[in-house]
Amino acid sequence: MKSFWKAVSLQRNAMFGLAIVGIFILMAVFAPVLAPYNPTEQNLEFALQGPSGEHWLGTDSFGQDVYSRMLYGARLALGIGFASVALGLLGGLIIGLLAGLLGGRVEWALMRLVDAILAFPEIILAIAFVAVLGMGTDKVVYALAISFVGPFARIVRSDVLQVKARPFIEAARLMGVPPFRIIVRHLLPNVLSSLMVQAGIRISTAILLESGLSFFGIGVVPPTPDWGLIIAEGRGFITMAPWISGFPGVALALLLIGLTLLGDGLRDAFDPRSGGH
Amino acid sequence: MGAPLFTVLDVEKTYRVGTTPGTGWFSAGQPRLLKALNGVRLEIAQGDSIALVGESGSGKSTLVRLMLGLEPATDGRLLYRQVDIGQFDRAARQTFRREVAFIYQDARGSMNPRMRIRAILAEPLRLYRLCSESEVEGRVLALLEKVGLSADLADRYPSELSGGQVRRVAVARALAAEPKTIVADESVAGLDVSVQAQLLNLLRGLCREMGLTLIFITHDLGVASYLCTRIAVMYLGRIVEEGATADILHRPMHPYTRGLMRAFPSFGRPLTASLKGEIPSPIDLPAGCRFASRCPHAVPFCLTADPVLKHPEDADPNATRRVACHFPIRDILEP
Amino acid sequence: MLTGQSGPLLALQDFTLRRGAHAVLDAVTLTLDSGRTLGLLGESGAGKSTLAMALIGLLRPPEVELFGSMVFAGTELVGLPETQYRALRGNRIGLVFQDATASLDPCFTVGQQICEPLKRHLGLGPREATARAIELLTQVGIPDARSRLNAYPHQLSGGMQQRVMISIALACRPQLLIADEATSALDVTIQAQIMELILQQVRASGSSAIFVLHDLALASQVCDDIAVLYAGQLVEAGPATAVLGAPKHPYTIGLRSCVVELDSEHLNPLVGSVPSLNEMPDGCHFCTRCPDAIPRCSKERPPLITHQDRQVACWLVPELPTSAPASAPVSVGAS
Repeated sequence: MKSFWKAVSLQRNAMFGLAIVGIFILMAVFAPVLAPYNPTEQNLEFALQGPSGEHWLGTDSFGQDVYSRMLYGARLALGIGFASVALGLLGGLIIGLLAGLLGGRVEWALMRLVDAILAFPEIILAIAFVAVLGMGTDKVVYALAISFVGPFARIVRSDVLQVKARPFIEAARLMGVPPFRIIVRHLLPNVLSSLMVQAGIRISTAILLESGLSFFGIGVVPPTPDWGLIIAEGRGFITMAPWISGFPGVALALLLIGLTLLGDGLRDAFDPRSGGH
Repeated sequence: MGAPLFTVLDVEKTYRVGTTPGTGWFSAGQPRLLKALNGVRLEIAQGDSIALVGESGSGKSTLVRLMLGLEPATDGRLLYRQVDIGQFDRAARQTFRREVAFIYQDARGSMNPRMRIRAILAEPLRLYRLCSESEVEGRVLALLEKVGLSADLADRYPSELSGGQVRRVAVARALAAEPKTIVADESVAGLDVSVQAQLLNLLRGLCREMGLTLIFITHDLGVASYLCTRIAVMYLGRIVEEGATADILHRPMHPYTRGLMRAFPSFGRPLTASLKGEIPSPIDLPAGCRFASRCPHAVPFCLTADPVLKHPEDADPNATRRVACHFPIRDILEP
Repeated sequence: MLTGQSGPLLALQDFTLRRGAHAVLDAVTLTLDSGRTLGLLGESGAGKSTLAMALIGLLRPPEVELFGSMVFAGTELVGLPETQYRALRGNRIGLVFQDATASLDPCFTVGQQICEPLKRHLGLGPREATARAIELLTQVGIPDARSRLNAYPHQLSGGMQQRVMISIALACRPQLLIADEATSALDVTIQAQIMELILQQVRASGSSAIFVLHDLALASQVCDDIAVLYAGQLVEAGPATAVLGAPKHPYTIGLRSCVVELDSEHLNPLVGSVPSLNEMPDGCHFCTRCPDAIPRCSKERPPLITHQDRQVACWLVPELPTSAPASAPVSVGAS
């Protein structure tokens, strides 16, 4: 862990990104404590009010507190982002490992499947899966996860092939280490490190995708406090009540910038592909 | 004399490297074959120290890979303790892996970069249950001491060690499983002279002290003579000369061995490029003696018949000496 | 400082190279006369490759800081502008590196790469350049030179590629050839051929050569003079027979006894290893490993003095001028 921090702290951008992301994580974690109102509590008499003492960031067309919705939105964004990437990573790991280790026809078949997934732009895939699975927070997570399996599987397979060819794997074989132990002890740790960096970078993609889906009305279901959804809801009031779309929009942009900076920094520090470490 | 530990019987290893273009549109080309090993016959007894000496394309690394069971032979048999290594059952294979330790040329690459030295050395100990868990630490430190490394290196990663240190760790790891044989591939190449000398002394001392069988791959005749009592000179997939070190160095019989020795830099001797020409490619080997194209003593007969590795008639019958040459040279090599 | 026809071809005077806070080369003083070959010997961290790079201006400010003086045929190289350096490189100073595969441009044919310096420096037209290129390739022993002109580097073997590199280096008949581990990556029989070729070409044209080597025996065969470097300091310099035959500096002595020869019974390696740049002692850098070190060694750096037929930097070696009349030229410069 020590060397992890040492490497990351060397990148100024990464630290900056980490700070931004850290703030949002805190917002997400402590949303129930920080939010003054229930995010779905409607108060029609106070609808479309500008920022004030009672509603720091104003209210939307249903009288819901924008600030509270924004805080819970952070929770949702990060939650969906992490969950979908984690699931996609798991799926990609399984497929990539099987393909890389077994080779032959299995590898061929799995990789053609991956090719098929990769042939579609991620957003099209996500839309298609939402169409099949239905709308809702969990469905969005699954849809995104499936569209991530493809890229991850490819990365895992190529990493597995690369690491498999390195002398220390063969040396372990020569020592008599049983195959399962070689995979767990020698192969996986060397594959996972660069994979984690790739996963981190994907989280911002996930968040952008889910916000996009929600914006178009095919993601989460209202009144879930999702930034994309809020921005969509505020679209009609952009001249009258710009704060509805404005604040969540800024929050989304900031989080994405923070994640990108952090991801770049992690990649520069760690990913052997890009020549770091 | 006892039964030999390793037996290599007429082993061949051929790789397919692409195809020659066929004639016309529809005929498939002929496969191009790389004959890495072309009929190798060797016996190694317990306690022997033998050096496999050769240049690029000699097949020495391939031979060792086959002997270790990493790849199957295309033809011929490889025996360990009279048992074909391809026929090992699980228990026999485990024993084989434990008794024969291999030290890679790329010592650093042969270690998991994410494991500390302590874990790297403990792995064989735990694998073969050589001691209780509480004794592992003590054993690891003892191993480090045996190869002349300080205990504080146990916490480091391979990337943090110098070239010489990492090779010593490789030796320590090889010794950890208490093997009977050590096989090393160019373990001292590319090192500073003083580091190389330290490592050579270490290897020699350990092998002698522990009665280990040593199989050492090298291109350096000096290293071969320092470490091993037997030398097998290889050229293009065949052993061309084999025998006791002192014997071979004193009276090399094969023209290639003589050329090799003359080319070997030595103090007080002027530079001699005794062998002209390039080392031919192992693909599409010529008929007849494979060395004929570069041999200063070649005669037309040499191009027709491939010499067999055998005991030369007039050599001392007690000496284990074999040469693959139609006209082995009898005189002592002039310094 | 000696200049003019009768002076040395290359003269370094207190040449120092600093990278950051560390002196990678520490006040090196040596000379090279026309027509002589000099070997730069040393282990890792000695600075021999650094010196070669600095000589040809590939290591220059602002990456490093240069102090002292380096005079090549009357031209001061320290502080020489890059434009003037370019006129020297490939023209009056030729270079051969270790890894020919990496040094030859894979996108251009052999012919194009040889003709480049010919056109650039000598201003030859295409037909003359091609003729000269064929002549050069034949000289370096490449058969069928005319058709080889159109070959790409990857189509040639390692030895052939190195020959091409040599012909490029010699294309403009340089006064000085610098060979940095030019044969270390080659098989020993090919190494002998290549070294013989380089020597032959150098002697034939009367130019000088600097060989950066780690192989002491090879150095004794190809170099007239030797300069031994340790951690950036010149510790001993003089004719090869003197320095390697009867070394006086403890490091040279230690190095010499580490070399594995065909009849080595026992090796006495130097203990320890080269200290890292951060841990470099003041005074003589070798004092941490020297078996005969005295307290003065770690405080004051010994000056380079003339001891009989060579120059040594050691407190334990007294200054003794050459007693014999100077029949052979003492090619190591006076301070």
